[in-house]
Amino acid sequence: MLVKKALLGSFPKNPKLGKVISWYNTGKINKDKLEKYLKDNIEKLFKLAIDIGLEYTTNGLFRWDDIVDITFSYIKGAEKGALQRFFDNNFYYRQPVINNKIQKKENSEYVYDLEVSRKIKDEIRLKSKLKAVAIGPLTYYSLSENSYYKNPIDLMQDYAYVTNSILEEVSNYVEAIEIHEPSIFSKNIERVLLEKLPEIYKIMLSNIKLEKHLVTYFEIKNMKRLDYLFSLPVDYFGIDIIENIKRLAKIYPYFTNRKVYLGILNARNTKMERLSTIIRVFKSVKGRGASDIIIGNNTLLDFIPEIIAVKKLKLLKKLDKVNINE
Amino acid sequence: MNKLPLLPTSVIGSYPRPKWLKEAIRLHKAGKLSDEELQEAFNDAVVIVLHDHFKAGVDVPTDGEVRRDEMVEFFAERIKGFRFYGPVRVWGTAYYRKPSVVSKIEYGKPMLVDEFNFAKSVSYTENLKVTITGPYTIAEWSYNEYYKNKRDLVFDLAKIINQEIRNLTEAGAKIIQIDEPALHTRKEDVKWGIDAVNEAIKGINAKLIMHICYGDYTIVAPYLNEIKVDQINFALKIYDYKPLELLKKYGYDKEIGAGVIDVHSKRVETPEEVAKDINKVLSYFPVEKVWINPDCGLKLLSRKIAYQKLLSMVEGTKIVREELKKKGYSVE
Repeated sequence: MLVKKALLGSFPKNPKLGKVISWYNTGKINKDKLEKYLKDNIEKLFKLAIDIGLEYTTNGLFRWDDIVDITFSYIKGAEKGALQRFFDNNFYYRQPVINNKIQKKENSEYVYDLEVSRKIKDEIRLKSKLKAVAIGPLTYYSLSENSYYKNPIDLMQDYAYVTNSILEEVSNYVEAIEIHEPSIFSKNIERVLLEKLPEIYKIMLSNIKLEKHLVTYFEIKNMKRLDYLFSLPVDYFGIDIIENIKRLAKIYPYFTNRKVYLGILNARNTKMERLSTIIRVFKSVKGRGASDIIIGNNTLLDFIPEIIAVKKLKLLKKLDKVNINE
Repeated sequence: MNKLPLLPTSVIGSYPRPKWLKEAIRLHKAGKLSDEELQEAFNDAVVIVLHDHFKAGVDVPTDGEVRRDEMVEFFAERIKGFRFYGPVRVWGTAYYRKPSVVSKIEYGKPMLVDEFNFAKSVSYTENLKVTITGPYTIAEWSYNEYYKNKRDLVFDLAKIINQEIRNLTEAGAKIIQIDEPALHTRKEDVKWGIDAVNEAIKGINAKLIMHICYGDYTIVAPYLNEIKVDQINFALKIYDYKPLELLKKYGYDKEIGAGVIDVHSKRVETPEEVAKDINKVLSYFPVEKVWINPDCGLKLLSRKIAYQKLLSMVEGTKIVREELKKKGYSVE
């Protein structure tokens, strides 16, 4: 049996594509030219997915500045605010400033993005399951500036309704959804919000027939939060193994009889992982009774150069030659 | 340092490279321009930047950091122990070549002395500021493949930065700014990060300024008075001056360089808007302790907009100076 491998989140946007996007934004090239470049980059990524034998892939999120940026394409009621640091990375996103009720925009470019990606996937006969990426309601709330809702639960609920609607729309084009919820481990999150999350997730995922992968990343400073994470109604639970390597003994019990995603490739350092470490972690998790295991990058690959991202993902290919399941 | 007016105006450091300089750099990379010709282009660009600063009326200019592609990359290229794999994005379509530390870092040769000497030779004022990236930011914005922990790397870098600042003061630099925009990234690092900055500026006889910008100021605010600099400048405009309350809460008592220009927006602030904002700052800090600057470097803007923003900043400052004059302050 081969190890299931996946690409999580965004793939480094090469500077040439960055330039093309800038040219488009300043009116120097037309939409057709931009679309051609985007298509070429998605196709290149999908070919890499074929080469590595990924079970799951995203479309690289080349069209978007970051995972928060996607939300502006389908949400009314939030405006782009100041640049803010994305957690503790030297990477910045435009903060959503919520100054009206969160509602769904019609004709979202996100749906179009996934429709285009699906066409490319079919054209090149990529077998990997395509994932749509969405930011989780708690993370959306914690990364936003709220000047409309009196109660953050109302904000998260409205976000969940809108996201549910957009996920329904993209269901024709993808096989899975990947929900990013790193804020579940952030400090200063009120307990009432964490307690309400299962209910909000039910709204967000209502009638969504796709595989649901919930991913978290960065250091887990409060292990009690794992109870909240593993209570959410999803199929796969993702943990950043790299940042929590010293806490694995405390995390492992949660893996029993659950499907898990292991973020084992460090997307925040250029240092290459050892294959032996990957195998050791995989075997430990398997030994703990995880019902299914996917491995891949621990967080967004935007944080490392493209050349290293490719090298790291290709490292996973070597696992095919190892009898990791023995 | 020469005498400065009340509310001295300054820049953070970088200024847009003229288009022809970008072309010269491209030609040099393609082997079509010699090193000497590129240096000539850089020198010409410095003259132009200082001319723009002069025309705008900036009291404490820089050379626009026109020789530096990026604030960490420039130093990592010159300090032994770094390697580059390729560019990474910082936001939107802005990239930098994030270096990797692959062996013990070592000082090579002076990195900024030549550029300072040239800028000094063409500057319209003795109050020229030279900027240098601090040890914590260099480490935080690099990948660490070699050191057991980041702290060891940062303190090794502090020694190197200290050496370079000494070289600058020997060359006559009187105003030196240490850029530490990453210092408030991780709460657990802030205290020792500040110790490292203090190591980097130990024994330096110059006016020392530190630059901090985007991020969560609450992490660093309690420790700001421990940093052994004369002034800290902050991005404030983009946060609608909310951090002023925080600085007050922690009794920040050094000079403040108030960011009154949003460098991530193409909209040019009006002088009246700048004046209003400065008055907001003055409601928190005594006028003698306030300098006026943009939130951050201007390099990502077009030269035209960057210049207009500087002009507004200076004109807005003049409005406030006039108001202060009427109140009996000596503004010159």
